[in-house]
Amino acid sequence: MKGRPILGVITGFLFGLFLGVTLFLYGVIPLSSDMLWILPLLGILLGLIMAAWAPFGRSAEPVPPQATFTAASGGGTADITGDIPVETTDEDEEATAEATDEDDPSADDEIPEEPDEKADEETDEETAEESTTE
Amino acid sequence: MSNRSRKNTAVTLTMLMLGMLLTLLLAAPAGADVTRGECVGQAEFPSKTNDNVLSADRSRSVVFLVPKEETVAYAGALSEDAQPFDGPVAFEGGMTVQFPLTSWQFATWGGESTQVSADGVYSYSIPSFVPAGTGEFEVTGWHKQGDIDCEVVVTVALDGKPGPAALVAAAGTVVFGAGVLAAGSKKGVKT
Repeated sequence: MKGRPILGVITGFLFGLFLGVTLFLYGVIPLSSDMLWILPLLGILLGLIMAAWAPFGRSAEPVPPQATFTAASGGGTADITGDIPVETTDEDEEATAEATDEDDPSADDEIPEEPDEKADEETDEETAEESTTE
Repeated sequence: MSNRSRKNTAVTLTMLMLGMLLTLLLAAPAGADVTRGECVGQAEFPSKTNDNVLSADRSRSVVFLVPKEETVAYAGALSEDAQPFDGPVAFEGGMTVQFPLTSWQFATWGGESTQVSADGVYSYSIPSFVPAGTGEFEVTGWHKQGDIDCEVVVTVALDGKPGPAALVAAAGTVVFGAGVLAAGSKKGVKT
């Protein structure tokens, strides 16, 4: 059920009961009328129908198909790429970047080590040339 | 179907259901008198200024208004031309108020007698908390003596106006009616 069946049953019963008593007290139905016990049962039925139908309130926002958990990749974080606006601050972005650097080994792989070695080699060659010149 | 039209449809259907129910209730059949035997009798309510005699042959569809307290002068007989018994004959009788699924016998009598008629006075006082001006009560009087079995049904109502109890009942109806409508709201969504 989309609505609230328990609330419907309880309030429906009391609604029918009070409706019957009200109708009797205002002289609409006699005390011997079967409506005095039929009305609470109809109230329960009405409450269940309302709970099953649930015509009030907005439907829940559909989950965009892109918003999937990337647990399979081991990240354990949600990769939300839909149009849902996410407010982030500079501190959050920095923290995210640091976490990515620490956790994601691929981030380290992207940093080429060769330029550093070449730079070291060049430095060594320059040092050698200087010593030769001297 | 948009949300607004669904809401309007639900409210309309609910109101329609209540209207149909009310129509059914108001159209309850009056019914014919249900009596057994040939008993005759009447009760006089002295404090009433008009329509103060309730007779056994009164139609059930004609409501008799009774005050909340009264000393009633009554008279009754097994039949109009009944003759006294030769010897004492056991008799019993009573008066009951009919409820939807049961009845409540609020007065009884019994014994042995050769008489076939009786008269006297009967005083009653309905507690103040019982609301007046309400719907009708179906009161049944019955009497058995020997082979004679009588039953008379009359329709009465308490004279007065609906008091605070009626207002409380009406308020409860509105509150719990709103609860029924609230049961039709989707889970986890504020209406």
